[in-house]
Amino acid sequence: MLTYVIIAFWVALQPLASDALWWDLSRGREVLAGSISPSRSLLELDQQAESDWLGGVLGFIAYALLGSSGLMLFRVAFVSSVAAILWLSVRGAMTATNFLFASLTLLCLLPAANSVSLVYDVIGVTMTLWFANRWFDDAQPRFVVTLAVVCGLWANFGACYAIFLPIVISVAIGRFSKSSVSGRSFAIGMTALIACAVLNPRAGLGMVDSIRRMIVVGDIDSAHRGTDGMLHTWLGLSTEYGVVIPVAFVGISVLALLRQFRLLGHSPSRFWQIASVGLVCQYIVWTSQANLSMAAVWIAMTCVSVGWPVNRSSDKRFPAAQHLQILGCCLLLIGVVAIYAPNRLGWGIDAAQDPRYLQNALPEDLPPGTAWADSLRSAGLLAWIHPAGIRLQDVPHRAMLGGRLRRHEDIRHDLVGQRKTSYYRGDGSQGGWWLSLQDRQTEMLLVASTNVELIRGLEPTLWKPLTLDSPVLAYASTGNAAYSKKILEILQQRHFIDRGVWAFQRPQSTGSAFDRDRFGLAQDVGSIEQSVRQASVFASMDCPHAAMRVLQYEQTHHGARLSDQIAHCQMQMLHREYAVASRCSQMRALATTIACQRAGLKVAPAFPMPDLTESSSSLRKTVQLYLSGRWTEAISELSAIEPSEEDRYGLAMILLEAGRIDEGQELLQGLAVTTKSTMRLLVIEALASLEFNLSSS
Amino acid sequence: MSKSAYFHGCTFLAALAILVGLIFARPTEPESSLPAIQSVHTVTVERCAECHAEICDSYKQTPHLRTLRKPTDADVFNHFVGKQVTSRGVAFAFEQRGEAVVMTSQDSGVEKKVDWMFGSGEHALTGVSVDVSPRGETEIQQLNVSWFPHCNLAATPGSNHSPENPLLGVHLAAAESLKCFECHSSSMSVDDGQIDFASLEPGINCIRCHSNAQQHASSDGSLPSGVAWDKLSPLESIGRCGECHRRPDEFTDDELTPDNAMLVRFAPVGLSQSPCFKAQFDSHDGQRLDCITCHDPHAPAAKNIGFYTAKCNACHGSQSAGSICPDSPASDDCMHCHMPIVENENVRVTDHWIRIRRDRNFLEN
Repeated sequence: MLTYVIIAFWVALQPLASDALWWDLSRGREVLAGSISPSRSLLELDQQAESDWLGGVLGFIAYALLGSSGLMLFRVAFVSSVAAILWLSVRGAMTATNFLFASLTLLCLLPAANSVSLVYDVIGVTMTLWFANRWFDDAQPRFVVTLAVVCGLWANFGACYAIFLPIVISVAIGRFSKSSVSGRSFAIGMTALIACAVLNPRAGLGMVDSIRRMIVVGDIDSAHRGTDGMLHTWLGLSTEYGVVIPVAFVGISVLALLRQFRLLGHSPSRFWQIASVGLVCQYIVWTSQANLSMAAVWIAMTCVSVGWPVNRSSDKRFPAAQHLQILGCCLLLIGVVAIYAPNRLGWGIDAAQDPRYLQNALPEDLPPGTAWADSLRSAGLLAWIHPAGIRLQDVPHRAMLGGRLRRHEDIRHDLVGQRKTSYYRGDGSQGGWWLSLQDRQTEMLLVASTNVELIRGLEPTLWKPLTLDSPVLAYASTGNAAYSKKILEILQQRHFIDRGVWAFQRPQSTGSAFDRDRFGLAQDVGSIEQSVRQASVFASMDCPHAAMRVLQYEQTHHGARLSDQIAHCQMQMLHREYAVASRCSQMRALATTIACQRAGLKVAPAFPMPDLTESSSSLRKTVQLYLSGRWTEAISELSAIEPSEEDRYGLAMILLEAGRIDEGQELLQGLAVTTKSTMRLLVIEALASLEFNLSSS
Repeated sequence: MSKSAYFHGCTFLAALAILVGLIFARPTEPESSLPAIQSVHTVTVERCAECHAEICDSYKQTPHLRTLRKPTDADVFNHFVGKQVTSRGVAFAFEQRGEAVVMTSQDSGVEKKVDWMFGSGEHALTGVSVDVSPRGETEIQQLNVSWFPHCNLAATPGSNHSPENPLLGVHLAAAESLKCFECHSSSMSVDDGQIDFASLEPGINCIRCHSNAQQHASSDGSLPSGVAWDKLSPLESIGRCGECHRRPDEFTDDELTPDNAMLVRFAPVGLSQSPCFKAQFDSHDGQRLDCITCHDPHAPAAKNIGFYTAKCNACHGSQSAGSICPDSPASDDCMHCHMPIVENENVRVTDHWIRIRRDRNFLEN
């Protein structure tokens, strides 16, 4: 019991991190403002009603009343109620397997608990299973009525309610020929359930939408990662929640398979009940990770309910072996939680969903127009901020349901590929983002900070960022007078972090809703992952020196091993040298070679490297120190010798990265006078990069 | 195990296998239609000539077919190899090294292999050197010296070399480099930004405009060869040419001004601004003006001024309904005033913005 409670605490007491959070709350706000189709109210291109229109209402009320604590209480209530139902299900037949079913399912609740809308699908599955089992056990009409009410509510709150049909059918398969529910009653009951399920603003088409949401018809999921294959789902989940969650689901699946085959000789109907549930759940989970919590609950509750007749014994005493097995499971689960708990526990909203940076970045008077958003997170943040004048164009999952997803995806693809001007595709359609965005009167682009591919793609275009460190970056066009002041300010900031006297520090806790500790007790609230993400954003914005400064901070202050990221930054800087001077310096070539060796990467065969055997031993030692983050020692090492031109250039580069701009500049100016070789081009370029220049930005 | 259990077990395993197959069969990336140029379906001019011999024979003479060549191509080689030029104070030379052609900067001693030569030679020939980015994408350096018919070797438009900056070329990022090849070839395979040069079909051949030429050929002409060009509106038609020659709708009003000297290089853009082009939308006399009114896409552009004057006279001649030129009603050269040849960064082109230029700063036709 204690282990179970600890797991429940771990799942419940984590900040809300779903990318859909603000989108759901915005929808809730629209509904309370009188809209019956909140997505249509929020989106310029959406013309359809939606079945799950109430999905954000309770979350919004909780947030409006108690702020982020209200959302956390909502989360705690959800986790506790599902945990209680699971416990009630296994309590009567407590075996190691059933305990594992309950505990692992509890772990799998994490993705749903992060959201305020996925919870309804999990609750819907739980309640449907609970009452369907009772209906087939007792055949009393009140259970059908209750089931119909659950169905009706689910059809207005949750997006995946169409799964209630397979759930009831799977229960019927398990009770085949044993239930007192007649075929006629079953048919009437199912008709009533279906009738209740169409009582929503989208009516019967809501079922179609629901199925499409679940199995992600249209080649893409709402998180914009493409259709999830097995590997994608695994990677997506493990990146977001650690390896625990996908392993827990696989554990539940294996246990279900074992139980299913144990039943093979005893009850084919029960065998097929678990089999059918397993097959449906495996399909929906491995094609869209958003279904994981719902599927885990369905599998576990089915297995536990099916297991009763087999495992239930008249002797209520536990054999010693069972005790040992359960104890082993407890220790294992507590161990897993103990490893992952410290980094994840918290109260409030995850920093990755913090809308304040974006809000501050937007000028007060925005010209009328629309905004294109790359993901649900970026759309949700803008929908929540709700700036006057700007309307969102679309969000991926609504675009999918409305048949606009291909167009949405094409624009993203063209932006990533820097395809501004028109071109024609193999299917005859016209590509090129310029005309597409112009047709939509696009004034702003919103890009999640994790989408480094798109950030890199936008860099050479006329779209410039309005923020540098927001979880969602807003971009406006340089030709747009309303944003020009802000763009200029950010370009100057960008130059400062890359070439100015700037040093990175993790954000300090202020005890806000977006700080995990909530009370401002922690010194800094960031994490290595957050810093690495920020470094990736800087690198994608063509600010590799700023990225190196972030990485160096994490190396020296938190002992992070970031060889992969450092190698990529070095390659980027080497490439820049080659692009401007058709040659590379010894320092950068040496740093790239060593960094790639450390990271186990191959140096891209892009550049004719200088002869590194000619580099001085001091330069080699300096580069080793530099790559280890010991920049001050690296500078001392090279300052102590009679340096060659290459050594002096290398020293100047490290001085500039370390923020000792004056010393670096002086060294470069000296080199510019003395050197006659092509090194001069590198020196001139390095000196020019110290000046803020709009044309190079 | 009973026979029944065996049956159920096997049925389940079969269902499981089907399920795994279904999951793996789903695409893991959103399917996106590739740019037509990256289609691997190619058909040669020779194949088209089997049925369209006359058109193909004529097309083989067009500059479009020669927009991308190797520097060792006989027509190109002689313009560069063994030649030297001093441009903006920097001395450059082209030399042959074995099978390759290299460009050297004589001041800095730096040299670069010339991998491809862009341009048909009608207006210019510009060499590029192919590089690879750290992510493995194809990038190019556009070399700083080009060949022009009127002045031989001179500075490439957009180059920025100087004695302080004696570089051999301007580095273009991967996306920009890809676009260069897309407009100068007919098909190529691209994997993650890396061009497979073995698959590259240099020059503009039939499939560039007739994208379904392969299905047309393999169906013995019963299936269409792609876009029905004759069904396109004038604006759509010039937009199609504008895929490479630039489209008018991709310029802002601020850019579409007579003072913008760059516009002369973008014929469809200039044409779209012409009163002659705009007038066709208001008149109902059936007259039409677009690129192919004057330029047969299957033949080299006519060199005869009279040919173009006759086109003008179709609307503006004494027997036609259009306005007649008050200054020179009987002129046999409308081009001299209304479509002169102008020079922009060493490139001499015909200004397609049909008007009377205020600056009179143009060359004799």
